[in-house]
Amino acid sequence: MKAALIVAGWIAAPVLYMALFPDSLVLASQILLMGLFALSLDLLVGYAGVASLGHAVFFGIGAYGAGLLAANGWGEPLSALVLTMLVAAIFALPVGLLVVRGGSLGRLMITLGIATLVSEAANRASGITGGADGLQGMDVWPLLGLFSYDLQGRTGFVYAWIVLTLGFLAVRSIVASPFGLSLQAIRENPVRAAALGTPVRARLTFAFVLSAALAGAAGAVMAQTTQVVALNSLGVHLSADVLVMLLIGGVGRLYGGLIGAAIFMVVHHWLSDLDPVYWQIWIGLILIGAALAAPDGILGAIEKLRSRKQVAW
Amino acid sequence: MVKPLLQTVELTRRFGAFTAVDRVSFTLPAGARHALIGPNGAGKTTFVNLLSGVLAPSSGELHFEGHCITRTPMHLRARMGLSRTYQITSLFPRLTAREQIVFALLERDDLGWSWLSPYAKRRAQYEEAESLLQLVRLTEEGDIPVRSLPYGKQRLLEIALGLAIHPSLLILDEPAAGIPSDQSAELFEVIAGLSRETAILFIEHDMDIVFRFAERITVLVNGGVFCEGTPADIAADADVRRIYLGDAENV
Amino acid sequence: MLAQFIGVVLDGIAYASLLFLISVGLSVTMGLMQFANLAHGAFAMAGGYMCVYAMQALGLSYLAALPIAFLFSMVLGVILERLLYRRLYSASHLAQVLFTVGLLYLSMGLAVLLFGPGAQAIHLPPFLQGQIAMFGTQLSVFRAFTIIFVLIVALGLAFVVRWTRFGARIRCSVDNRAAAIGIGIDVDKVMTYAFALGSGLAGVGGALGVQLMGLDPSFPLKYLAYFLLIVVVGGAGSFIGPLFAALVVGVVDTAGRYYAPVLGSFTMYFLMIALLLIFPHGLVGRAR
Repeated sequence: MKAALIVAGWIAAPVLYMALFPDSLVLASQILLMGLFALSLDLLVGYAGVASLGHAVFFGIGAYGAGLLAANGWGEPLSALVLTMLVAAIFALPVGLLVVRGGSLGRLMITLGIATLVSEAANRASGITGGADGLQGMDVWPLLGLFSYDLQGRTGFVYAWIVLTLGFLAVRSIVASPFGLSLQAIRENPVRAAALGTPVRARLTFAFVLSAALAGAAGAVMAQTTQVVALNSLGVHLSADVLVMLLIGGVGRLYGGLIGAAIFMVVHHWLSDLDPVYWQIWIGLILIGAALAAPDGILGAIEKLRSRKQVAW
Repeated sequence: MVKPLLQTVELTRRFGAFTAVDRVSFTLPAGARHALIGPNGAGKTTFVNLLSGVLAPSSGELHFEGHCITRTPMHLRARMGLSRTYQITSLFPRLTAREQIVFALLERDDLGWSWLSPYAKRRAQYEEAESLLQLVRLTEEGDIPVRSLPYGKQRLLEIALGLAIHPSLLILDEPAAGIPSDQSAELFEVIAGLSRETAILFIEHDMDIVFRFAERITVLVNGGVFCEGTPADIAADADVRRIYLGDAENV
Repeated sequence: MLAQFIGVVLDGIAYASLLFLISVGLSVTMGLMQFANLAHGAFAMAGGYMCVYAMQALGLSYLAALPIAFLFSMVLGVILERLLYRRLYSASHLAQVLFTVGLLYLSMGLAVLLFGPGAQAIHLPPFLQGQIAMFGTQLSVFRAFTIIFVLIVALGLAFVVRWTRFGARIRCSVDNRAAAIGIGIDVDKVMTYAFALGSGLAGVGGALGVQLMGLDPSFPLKYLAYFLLIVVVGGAGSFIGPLFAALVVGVVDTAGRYYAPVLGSFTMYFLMIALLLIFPHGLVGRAR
């Protein structure tokens, strides 16, 4: 019964949204894709316990991958999506092997360094990436050869929604698998996990690769629906933003990334509309407040309230 | 002669100028009940860490079931059947007792890489986990995150986890450390009831328990083997009494 | 050819001196508390803006503005450490990231609010302008001044760390926090003082850096990777490590931009990541 309701909700929500808010579908698609991006990071941070300040590298590979394909005559979106996910995964393999060796702080630093390195490389390789001007000249073909991208963003919205749903189902099934259980065990106690026969680094590297492929998917669809790719889609700034979104929502709970992305993007959008110059101050204050008041995110705070209520009763 | 289950040859571990384990040659047959005793700082835990692969030896060799495992990483030693528990409880705090036993069983059964079907549907592992929980009397607490279990129960879960991978050797590093003596009796009852398919090597300070459960005893002093023998030999050894047992009236 | 090379190296050393001055405080606080502080650059930026403000609005001389920048960042550091940072010392690295990213954005927003989005410039006093001939090459007087200034500060710091009671407390707390508490060192207080000193030094670094690194509201994010990599590659908690690492970053980055401008800072980042992988605990660090 509950499951049927959830399924109905997943299907009804986008239809309802399109009917009610036909004018804000572009922002909504971006929220969905950032949600997918944050969800991919949740697999890594929340379940495997590997914190990363460089996850935008894989989002950016997805975006540039899809963008470059579309700008060079391969505009078919679905095959491009699969291909860029594969590229992100392949690139993630050596990076993952390096990252999982460190401790918690060391991993943050290595991923930060790699993100800076990659964004500098993309900036320098302006012949390919368009450098600071962004990638120009994308020509994305209609989805399935049928649905072209309208100005209102309806096709893009539905596309983003479907990819997010598939990504969500994938992550949910991964974390519920024996592999996912072993990731949680490693997160809790890597030494004991090894003492019980778990190849810790190999498992974490695989988690890194899966997470990178999903981040790549988010980036690819973002590029295909907005038809532009800018340098900021792969740097430290976006990496920090997506981590912050996940932390605001709450790690290790699947929905945390989605909620955090929605809140962050809406607040960001609203503040920068309201106050185009000083919105950063407000975002900063909100993050500081969140770190002090709800270090486990919104979902963590709700859980805490609930358990407190139960005790009171 | 029967091939030993575990054999160390001149196993040594130095930390800087300090030699924590000094040329220990040690043999353990299958199914043994063997105690490792010695004063604080004798190198018992370092020796266990060398056996399980937490530390690499500075020199010497280590053989398990006829294979040289001196350089084998920890998780492969576990896969070969070498299991251990920790002196300070080392569990998975936010997983339930049942989940972590199922995790260990899935690893043992080579299913840890399976990433497409849910672990909750692995009936065989769940049934086996249930019987392990019964063995350590934790069935009622099986579904609470273990960080909210009382410490004594956590010590029992340590042993269940160590046993879950069907080890041919289970090393218990002070299994009763930190729990009241009535509970430690219960814990050793569980240990005494274990099958002879599993050899047990344990570190323990309570001499009553050592002499009750061990069939052989090795005394480590200053990182080296001081002597080895049956409980009767050790109890009768004047040097051991002087160096380790001190006033041994109650032995 | 050689003269040119020497010139590049000297420029690199001047750059490195600034990076060291800004990063050294971060090294101590990260070593002491294992705190993931991504907002350290904000203290350098605060010092830079204070210097600009003191000269332009208050009409002070450059040499008077530098100590004001130091004091301002130091006071800011004490206030933030006492009010906010210390609440998160025992929190997870993730909560610390959330907090310091918030601080980072807040500082950048405030900089726009108070000084506008553009880059700032200051007029150096005449005695710091011009060039001096050295080793057959030209070194700007200001770079020479920076190098000498940082050299003096570094020697002073080395003296403090090596010979004073406060230095001994810092070394002891970094080595083994539990033992330090055990022998009666008030580690919290040590942390506050170290944080204050580190923020102040970053402030002077930011002030000197207006000339060599530029100053605009994106400063703390732009140089985030520099400061953190210097500390982590050098070895958090150490004094000499970040000095080496800063020299590597400064000289390699300058030489890289000069000899291989196509690659930009890529050469430097590449080298730093390689070093980090070869020495996961830092050049002079130890496993913890």
